[in-house]
Amino acid sequence: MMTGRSAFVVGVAESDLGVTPDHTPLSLQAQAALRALDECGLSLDDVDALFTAGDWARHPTATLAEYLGVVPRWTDTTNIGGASFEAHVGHAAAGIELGLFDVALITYGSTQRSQGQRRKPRPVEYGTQFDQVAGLPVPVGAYALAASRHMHEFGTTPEQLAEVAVSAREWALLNPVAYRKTPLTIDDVLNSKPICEPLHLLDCCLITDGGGALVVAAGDRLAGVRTRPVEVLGHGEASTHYGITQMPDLVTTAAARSGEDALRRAKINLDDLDVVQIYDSFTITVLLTLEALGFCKPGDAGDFVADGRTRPGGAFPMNTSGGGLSYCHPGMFGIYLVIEAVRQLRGDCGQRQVPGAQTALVNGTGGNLSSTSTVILGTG
Amino acid sequence: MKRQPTTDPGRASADGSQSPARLETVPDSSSSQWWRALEEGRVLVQQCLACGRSFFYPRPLCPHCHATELEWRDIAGGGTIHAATVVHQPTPIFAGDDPYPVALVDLDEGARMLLRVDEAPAGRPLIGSRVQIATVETAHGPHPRAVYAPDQIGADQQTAPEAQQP
Repeated sequence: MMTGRSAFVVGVAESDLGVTPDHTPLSLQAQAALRALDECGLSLDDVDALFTAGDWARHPTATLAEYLGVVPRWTDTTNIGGASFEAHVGHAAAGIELGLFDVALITYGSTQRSQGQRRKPRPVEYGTQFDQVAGLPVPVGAYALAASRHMHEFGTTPEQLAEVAVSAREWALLNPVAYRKTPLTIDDVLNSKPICEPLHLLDCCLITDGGGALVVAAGDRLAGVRTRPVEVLGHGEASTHYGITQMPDLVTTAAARSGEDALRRAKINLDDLDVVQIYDSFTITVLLTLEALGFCKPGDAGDFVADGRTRPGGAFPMNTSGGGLSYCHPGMFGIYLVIEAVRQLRGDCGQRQVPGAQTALVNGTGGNLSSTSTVILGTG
Repeated sequence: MKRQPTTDPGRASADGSQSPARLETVPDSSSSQWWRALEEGRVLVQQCLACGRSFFYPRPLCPHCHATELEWRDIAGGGTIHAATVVHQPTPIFAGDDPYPVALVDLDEGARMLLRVDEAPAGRPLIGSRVQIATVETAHGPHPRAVYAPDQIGADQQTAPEAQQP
């Protein structure tokens, strides 16, 4: 039975970020969940749907529900890598519209920096058994291959890729909880050690610990909510492949479809957006996503980000938290894209606030450029 | 293409060091046939009898048209580099090999493979360059490798149409 209710993000929070050796993925999620609920005046007793993703438990939502002491009537462990949490927001909004539950809690937590999970070899999977001997480290190698193709087809330069990292750092300098706090130049990026050509160390996201939480509530459950509600206006998601050998076109991501779906459902045009948060696992991810979403023509993203356009004070404010490149990146960054977008739409961003921001686009990308999910948020 | 496994010069046990164990595989009715052929020095792809397109990796249905009538084919060996990187920070099992080039190679048959590239000039292998795929005895058993062959004329210098299907 459809209720037609709108869904609103009412609570957002990070856990402690950076290096958190005294935490587990569960304790980080609990910390972030309590902070997000506390800021909006709801409690764990109000939560009747639970969303999380990660490889820290065999049954993540059941484990987390037990740990938090909640009994959800709906759970969702959709895992499409870093795009999972945009998908969770979309799924939560759909469930609220259907009347399946009233208050969804979406969480994430990782201690990958303290526990060194990043360095452990991944177990072989069916598709990777055939080419693991090539020795391509993933995901970075997959993104490097896409970058090589973008440079080949369109003449994109290492300097244009580096601008994405420099822009992120400029924003991070305005974010008190950002991990990187020193200025960065294009030359710094180009002179950092090569990881997988053409990507350098500073073309790659951080490796940090951290957790995050979002509280999504039905429009008829906002009485007493202390924060300014941010409406979920639209959502889309798409997966085009998993391994990089199977990507249909190395320079077109699934955001071409997830973005179109999200914008259509939100009845929003790209011109209506005030701020965008685009998953920056690697600098190339941002260029590919800008093109796939239609902010510029295929091949033009390198020029699009030039001249400080996406930096503080630029015409196209993007990744205003400092992004996965400079703010934090505990394995999957998707939840932080939503946290920052909501804070921008509330006007809570202090020095890095985009004046008068009312509509935001968030785009997560997961796997080997495999899956995307796009969410449109608004307060207008 | 049927060729005897050759020794990878970069892998010869010149220092007498013990070879690492073979990499783990995931055997099933599709993959086992591919691995058996590889032991004989043959590299197989599957061709769909319904739509005619070739694909890799092995599976029991065509990823393009979803038909299940498939045929194994030995590859002719020619291919073109579609995208390329040089790995400087490998996973631990390949530490010491670096830096080494890895490329997505479009086989002349139309399927795409991820391969190390041997005998490439310094730097990132050039996209569009021709390569010859050969089975090489590596420290991890026989595996296909791409050998740089810039003078070779390909049957089709363009990107394989199959690989472009959305």
